[in-house]
Amino acid sequence: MSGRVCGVLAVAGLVLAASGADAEPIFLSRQYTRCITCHYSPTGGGLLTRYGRSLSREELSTTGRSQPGHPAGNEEGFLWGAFGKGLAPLQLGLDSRPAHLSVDFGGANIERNFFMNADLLAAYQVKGFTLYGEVGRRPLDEGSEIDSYEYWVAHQSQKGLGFRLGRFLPAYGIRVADHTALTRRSLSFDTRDQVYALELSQIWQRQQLQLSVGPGRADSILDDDGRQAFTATGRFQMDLSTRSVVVVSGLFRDASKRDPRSGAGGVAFGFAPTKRLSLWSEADALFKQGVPAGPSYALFGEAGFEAWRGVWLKFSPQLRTALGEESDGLERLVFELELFPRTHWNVDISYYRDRNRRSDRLTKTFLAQLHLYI
Amino acid sequence: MSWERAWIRVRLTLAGLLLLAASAAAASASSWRVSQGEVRVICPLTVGGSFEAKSAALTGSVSLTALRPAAFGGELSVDLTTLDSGIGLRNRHMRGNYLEVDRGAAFDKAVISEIRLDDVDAESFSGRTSFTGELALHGAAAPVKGQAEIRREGTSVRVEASFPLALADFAIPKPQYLGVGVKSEVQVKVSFVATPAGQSR
Repeated sequence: MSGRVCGVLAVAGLVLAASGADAEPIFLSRQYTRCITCHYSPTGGGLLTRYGRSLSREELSTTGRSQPGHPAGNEEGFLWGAFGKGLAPLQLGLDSRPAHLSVDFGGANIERNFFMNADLLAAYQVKGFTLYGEVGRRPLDEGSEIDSYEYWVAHQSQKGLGFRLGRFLPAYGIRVADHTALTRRSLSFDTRDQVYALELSQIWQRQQLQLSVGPGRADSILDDDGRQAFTATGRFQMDLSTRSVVVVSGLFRDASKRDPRSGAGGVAFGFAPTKRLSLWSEADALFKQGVPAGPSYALFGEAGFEAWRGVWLKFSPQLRTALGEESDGLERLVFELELFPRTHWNVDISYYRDRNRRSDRLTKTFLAQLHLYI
Repeated sequence: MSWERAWIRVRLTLAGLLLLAASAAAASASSWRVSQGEVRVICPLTVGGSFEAKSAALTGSVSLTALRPAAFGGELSVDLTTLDSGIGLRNRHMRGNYLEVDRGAAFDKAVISEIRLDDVDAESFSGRTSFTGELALHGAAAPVKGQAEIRREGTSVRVEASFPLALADFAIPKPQYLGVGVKSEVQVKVSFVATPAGQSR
């Protein structure tokens, strides 16, 4: 594959795989071990709950937090709280990311300014039921399209038993903020890899179990691209303490017209030694029928450190080997600066250094995003 | 009086004196002051998971009032205005809305007294035992019961104790904020080193 083709694919990958409101595993450092505290989706990402919005103001933003003795107001609400409580129990959000991307692949360079996403997200919650949906503009290779990637109905009982039915990203491993992480994209858990599925879940005080089964990747079903295959996932999380968790996950995909039967299994560990530092790691093995030489592996690590209130530094080493060939694959180092000056917006600057282990070719990617979350 | 009887009396007198001396020694080492203390409150959330609030402002002293089962006078108290959950807004809600520490003396401290260790000898015990006590919190008082691990380290004693605390027993409303709440029972973990009164560790 030529360097130019590699670069174009890298650009396309980063542009097309748009993300909604990030999941933020850095909140483990604030003793939040469950996605559902801040997100409507039990697998994280997407629309923030009212609690999540409040936390983004009070704990993430540099200047937004309310002051003791002064009216807190509703700065964190939809459109800065313009509707007050008039919309409850409906919650809305607008999510957009104008971005600049620069990819250097062996001397040649591609640059692009684009809207990574522009979405309207909504959730209606009553008596333990949640109706959830999002619709937005997504970039394509050429132009863009309006589409909905996630829509589902869910119920959670007082005893912690729940179900979810619809189109969503199934629960697996850690849903990190970077959707291109090698443990996400390699396992087909990128932002356009939602499945149609039924998810059953049970929440205990220190454990969480999520199981899903369904006919497969939603876009494959809708586009009839020959990749539709029965898909099942399982994820079990154990909170070792208020600042440390271990996650065990499994994935099974039956054979489709184009792909052999495949699966994956992995374990992840998160630990926050202080309230400014979170450490995450995940290791997955990917299997594919007909490849007897052995599995491929995806390794992920991330250290997130709050250097100043609302200023996060992240470092993430990652590795993906090829099936049956551990010396082949991709090495990645990610350096990231996230600034949260005020509620509703943040700036994310990332630098990716990818090294192809076979060709030794380096691809350097610079991505700057202005994230507006209204 | 035969010389044998006289000898028995002398021995009994000596034994009595020795017993008195031993009792006096025991009494001098049966008052304890808390140092290096920490209180952690594990608060389970209604959505699963939990958070921990902690304080190092544990003070007080206790003195032995009965050997077996061991009973202690005095009290241990923690300054609730220093209880820290790691998040500013949560601290404000916890201290202001639920513990109401600004309401005064009966609210800004949690005090445990009348501590009794079940069926153990306070002078020699080392290991795990259950205990009871009277906890004053949020302007109310109620008995608590839990488990304690006691280890002797030279002249000091290291104690790690835990007990469940039902918020309703202390008239504390169930914490709730924007759909996320704390369950009705939290777990309290206390650890400290007790040194004999008059000694500093």
